[in-house]
Amino acid sequence: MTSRFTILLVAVLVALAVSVLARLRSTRTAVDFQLAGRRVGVITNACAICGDYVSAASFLGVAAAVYAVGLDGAWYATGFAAGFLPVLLFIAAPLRRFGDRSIPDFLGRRFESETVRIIAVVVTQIIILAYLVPQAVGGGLTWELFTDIALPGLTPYSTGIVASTVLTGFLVVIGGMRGTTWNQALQFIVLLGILVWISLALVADGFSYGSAVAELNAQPMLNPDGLEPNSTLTATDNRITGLPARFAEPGARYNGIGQFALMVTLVFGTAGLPHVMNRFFTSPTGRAARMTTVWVIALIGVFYAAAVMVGTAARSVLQTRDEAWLESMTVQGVLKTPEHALLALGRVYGGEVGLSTVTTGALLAIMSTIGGLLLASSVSWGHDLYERYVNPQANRVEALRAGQLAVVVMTVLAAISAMVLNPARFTGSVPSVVASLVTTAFAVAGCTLTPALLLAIWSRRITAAGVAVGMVVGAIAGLLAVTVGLLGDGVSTLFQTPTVILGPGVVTLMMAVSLATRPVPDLATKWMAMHGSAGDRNAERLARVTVESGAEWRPASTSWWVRRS
Amino acid sequence: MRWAGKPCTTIDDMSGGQRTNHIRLADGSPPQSIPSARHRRPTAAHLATSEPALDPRFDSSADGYASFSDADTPAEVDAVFRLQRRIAVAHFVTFMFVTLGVSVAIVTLDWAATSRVFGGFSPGFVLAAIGLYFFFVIVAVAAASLANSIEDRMMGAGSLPSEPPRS
Repeated sequence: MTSRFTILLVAVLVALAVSVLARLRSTRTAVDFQLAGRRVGVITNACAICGDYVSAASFLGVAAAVYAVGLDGAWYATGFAAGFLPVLLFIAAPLRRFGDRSIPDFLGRRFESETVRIIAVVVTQIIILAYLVPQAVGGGLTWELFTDIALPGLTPYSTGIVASTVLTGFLVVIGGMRGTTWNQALQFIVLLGILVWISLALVADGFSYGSAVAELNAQPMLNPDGLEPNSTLTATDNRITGLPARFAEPGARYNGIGQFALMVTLVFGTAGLPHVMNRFFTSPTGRAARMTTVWVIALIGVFYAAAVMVGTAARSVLQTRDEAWLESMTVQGVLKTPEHALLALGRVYGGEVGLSTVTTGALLAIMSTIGGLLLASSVSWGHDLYERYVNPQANRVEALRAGQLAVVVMTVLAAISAMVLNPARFTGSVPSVVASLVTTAFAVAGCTLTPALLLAIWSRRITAAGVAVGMVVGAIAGLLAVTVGLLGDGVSTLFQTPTVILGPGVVTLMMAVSLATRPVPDLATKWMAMHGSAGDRNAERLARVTVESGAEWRPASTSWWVRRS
Repeated sequence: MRWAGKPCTTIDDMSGGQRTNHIRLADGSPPQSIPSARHRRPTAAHLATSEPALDPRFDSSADGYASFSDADTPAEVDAVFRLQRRIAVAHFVTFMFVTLGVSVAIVTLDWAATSRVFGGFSPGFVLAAIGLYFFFVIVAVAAASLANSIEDRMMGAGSLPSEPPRS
């Protein structure tokens, strides 16, 4: 028990130290709090985006989904990684070049419409909450496995939720975007390191990836029918053939259309995730944003490929292990909760220290994503609403305080929502409750912000009215669909992944309404800002001149540093 | 005069609005304050006071502002926009065709799920679990290189030289 908490404590102290260091180097302005001064380098930003993106759904959920449904689960990982291609091709550079602080800010300025800005703020908050709650659920599940310690009046599950959300909220408040960036980059490196370590341990133990896939595929896939002690294994039906499902064949979770719909939902959802897209505003130039995305695609690919392998290995290895601690977690060698797959492998190969390391990694994954989400929420409330509508005369301290207050409110809201949500009710109906809930956020993002961003950047004919109507309809339809999909029994999986239908529908609606209304005047100036590269060249030239001259630009509030040195 | 310390990396960092940046000089003179909002660029007068021959690429214009005088023309931007859009769409179609094609092939073709290529992997599993990630990286590198190259070649023709004259 001591080693468990030692590793966790070290991780928390490092995160705290990073946040404090970032605070010392911060200028205490809203821009520095929200965008780290727009000076984050390509590799650092790529690692931070990966840390932001690799949440509980990825670290625990992808391995869990592969563990539970085999090949269909692997498509989660593929979809998550593929989502950055549209970002690279269509969005990253122009979004950064337009130079705003958030997606609502970008859309509001692009269409010169306060209505668009406010609708985008509401949609952003919905997406953030939909993404935040599963992270907190993941925190609760991980803590539950990690320890039975509970705060007075709370279960271990609820205690984990409180610990992960409150601690992260505190770190975000003191570290801002700079501290969160450094923490996310560091945390992603730790997560990747854990997967690499487990992979190496598996190989050293004689694990053969291909042989394991072949062996698992040779028998029908069996999964527990519940979490109760007396639960039994039942065969999973293949939704394409109607025969018993097998590990390396499609159909354990999705039918043919469902497979296609999942991919489209994940691919188009990524571009609409506010916490991920906000990170591009921290890049110094549009070109840096573009190259950052290339690095993200490479790093995230390595991560997900490893996660899929580990999920496969868990299915293969755990059922052959005869260890006492596994008995309460499994039914005839199959885990009752698929999210425990990675944690169980950590314990198999590293004992208590291994379990502690993976658990700490899982909590770090959750914290880094929660951090990004809270910051995105903070920017949206603080900059897009407070500074523009509530108190337009706000000085920098007031703007900063508004953003920090938003972080606190969203932290509490996420914690309460996750406590009310009972993950046990979803077991058996979805492969991984965390990954499935995150898919909800992707679905709403893909039906709202992604079409709005794509058309705002690439269509001169699109108008504020078109985008506003499209986002409202997309948000309502998307939320309805995923709610029915998650809560309804026996409904089509298309309801959980509605972007394949709603996305094109929203684009068509936006364009139809736009044809009946007039685009904003002075589009040429906006086009020059988004698609021109003069800003990049100027920035690069200034940086080069500064490097050659050995000069340093320092924000005013750190002038103490200048004087001392 | 030698300037000291680490470099600033972006001019756009100055877009935040209300704050002031300092340029620290290594010769012991006091730090120079420069208003840092986008619309409050360092004035020519200010720069002249702090460093008369700061850099030949600064343009002290008649309106009292000094900046790098690099700009795109609308024609350049329009041409680049059209080309970038065509390239982005072409890469995207390729990406979607392959990604969804693999998904469809696995569902519809028996051999993709049941045959074995190496080490026990089926073609479908090896593509979904490993192969597509390599494909994504290849597409990303190709698209980014092409986009950067287009911007380099088609924009900034009338701008200042990228390297300063060496003395």
